Amino acid sequence: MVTASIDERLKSCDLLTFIGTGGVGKTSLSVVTALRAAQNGRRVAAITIDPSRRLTHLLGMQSESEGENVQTIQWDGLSGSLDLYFVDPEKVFQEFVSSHIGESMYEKLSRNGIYKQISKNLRETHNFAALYKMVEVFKNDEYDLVVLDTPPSNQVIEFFESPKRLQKFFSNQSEGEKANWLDWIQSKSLKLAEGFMKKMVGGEFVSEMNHFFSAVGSLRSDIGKVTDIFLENMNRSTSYLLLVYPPSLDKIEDARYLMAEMSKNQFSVNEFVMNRAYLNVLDQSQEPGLAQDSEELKLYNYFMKMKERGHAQINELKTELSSHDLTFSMIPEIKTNLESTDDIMNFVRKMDENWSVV
Amino acid sequence: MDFKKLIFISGKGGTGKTTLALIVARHLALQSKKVLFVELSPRSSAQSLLNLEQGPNYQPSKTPFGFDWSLMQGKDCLVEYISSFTGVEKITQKVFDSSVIKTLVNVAPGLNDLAVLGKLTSGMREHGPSFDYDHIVVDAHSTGSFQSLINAPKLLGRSVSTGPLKSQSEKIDEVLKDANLVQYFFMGLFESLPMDELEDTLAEFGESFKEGITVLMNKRLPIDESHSENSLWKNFIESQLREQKKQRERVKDLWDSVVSQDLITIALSDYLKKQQGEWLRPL
Repeated sequence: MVTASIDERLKSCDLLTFIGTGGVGKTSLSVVTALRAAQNGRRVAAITIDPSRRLTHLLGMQSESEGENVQTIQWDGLSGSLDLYFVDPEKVFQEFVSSHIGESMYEKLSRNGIYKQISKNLRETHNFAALYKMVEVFKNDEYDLVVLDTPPSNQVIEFFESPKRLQKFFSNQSEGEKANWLDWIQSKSLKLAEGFMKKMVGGEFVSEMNHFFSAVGSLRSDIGKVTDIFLENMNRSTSYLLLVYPPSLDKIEDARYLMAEMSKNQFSVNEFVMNRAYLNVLDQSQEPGLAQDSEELKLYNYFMKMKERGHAQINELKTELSSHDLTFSMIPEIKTNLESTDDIMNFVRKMDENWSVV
Repeated sequence: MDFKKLIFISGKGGTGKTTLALIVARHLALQSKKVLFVELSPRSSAQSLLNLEQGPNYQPSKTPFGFDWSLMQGKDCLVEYISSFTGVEKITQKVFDSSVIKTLVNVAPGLNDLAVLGKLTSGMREHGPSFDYDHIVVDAHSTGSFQSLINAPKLLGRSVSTGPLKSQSEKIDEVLKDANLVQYFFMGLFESLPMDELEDTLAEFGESFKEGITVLMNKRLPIDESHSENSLWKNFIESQLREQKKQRERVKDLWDSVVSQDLITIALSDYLKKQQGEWLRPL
């Protein structure tokens, strides 16, 4: 069990991955952690998908700007450097596909209705885009730390399973026996399926689909290669995986589930971080000085109780997961609103004392 | 407040969607309405919040809170829909277990979403198997995924030129935009980051769904000022209250139909057991 400060814990890593369900402050936390490392003199690349407008604004990034999707953060107090990569999943996926199937083929594919839908709307593609970007950035020798913020999803495990699913998805074509997707259906005597499809979606859709699969059939192995590099990087001892969760009951359930799924897939989580765990103004022994039965006292007691419950829940998780080599930590709710770069840098400066191991 | 037949609750992660969906369901159940609470995520969030041993399944079941609940996945809805044509669920199930159909369901993006929406709106379109409920309250996805859900019928309707899929998609899309039938709650908090996101969401959904949208501001602090002698606490609460006021003004400018929910300081299951709620107040 490691009990060193956050700086110590991260000192020997070159890859830092944040996972967790939506709305837990994962993106903000990954950015401030990247800033902290840059403050400590490291050359950092942070990869994030779809950060909030406020955050990009505060970081001085123009997320809307065409073409340019990397921004260097130059603030006083950063002795190292920070490059922020903003991943537009659709664009990155297109980049990947066109570079692997060739320009002329891509030209045709880009007009295919199914391809358009997939590159835009499929979660697997979004997830894959993030890890593809990570692999690309990781190749770059300019950095000594890559910070990866995984995309928001209902089930984070999806992110790690995405390449597998995407590969499966593209693999119909490469079963070996048949070159044509429709022939394949027929060969399996799935007349009912075909009939259903034609009835449901119409012949046009079926032919679009056929075209789609003949165009992308070769992508399967390329996806496999990217995935292998990603997994290799994730499994090295210099990779550090943080699971971020809030102190609410249903989200703690999610964290438990996620941990189990991650273990099943041979990923080892290194740290459980309870974010916005308690109000830091309650971090002292002063009396509330409030009238009995007042609404405000109820409120005070509620936050007090939440704080105790947060600790109790961490202890429960600790006992439950004692067979894993895990660090448990918590970060208090400090200030609800980050209004300026000063707010962010204040947080970064105090990070060591606020982010405590339990 | 007037509730429609189909109610969606969406918003940024961590804003309290499930909690509020449960409050709405309970509120309607207390008015002797027949209510179905629907979760769309693969695992139930409501189960731990309600502190119940058994979670929901696809087939609606009873809860001790006066409403029924169901966990709805695209695949289940599709199987049911197709079965209603073929008449034999076993065959349909077999077809669905084939990798071809699994691929199809994945490839035709939005087919899963369409199936879910088809199921939810079936009563209103008088098509396919439906449920007998006065209100269906849906604990929907967070904003981004919700957008793909709601846009699925429109997109699919466009990508196919004829056939039953096209006509069904168009009908579903029509129902979703009918403010007499469908209502959307978008969650907000009295904090600037979630409010930025809410503003974006309203800009995107606002035009097509304007009439049907209500903003629901959650976790309102139920006091107006601090009387504490503890200066750290007092400062914190007062800065929160200032922010609350600021965001309250902001949301008032942003949208006409807004309600608020006080921060719940007891266990949700106890809160819901109360016979009358101080929930869902005017802003």
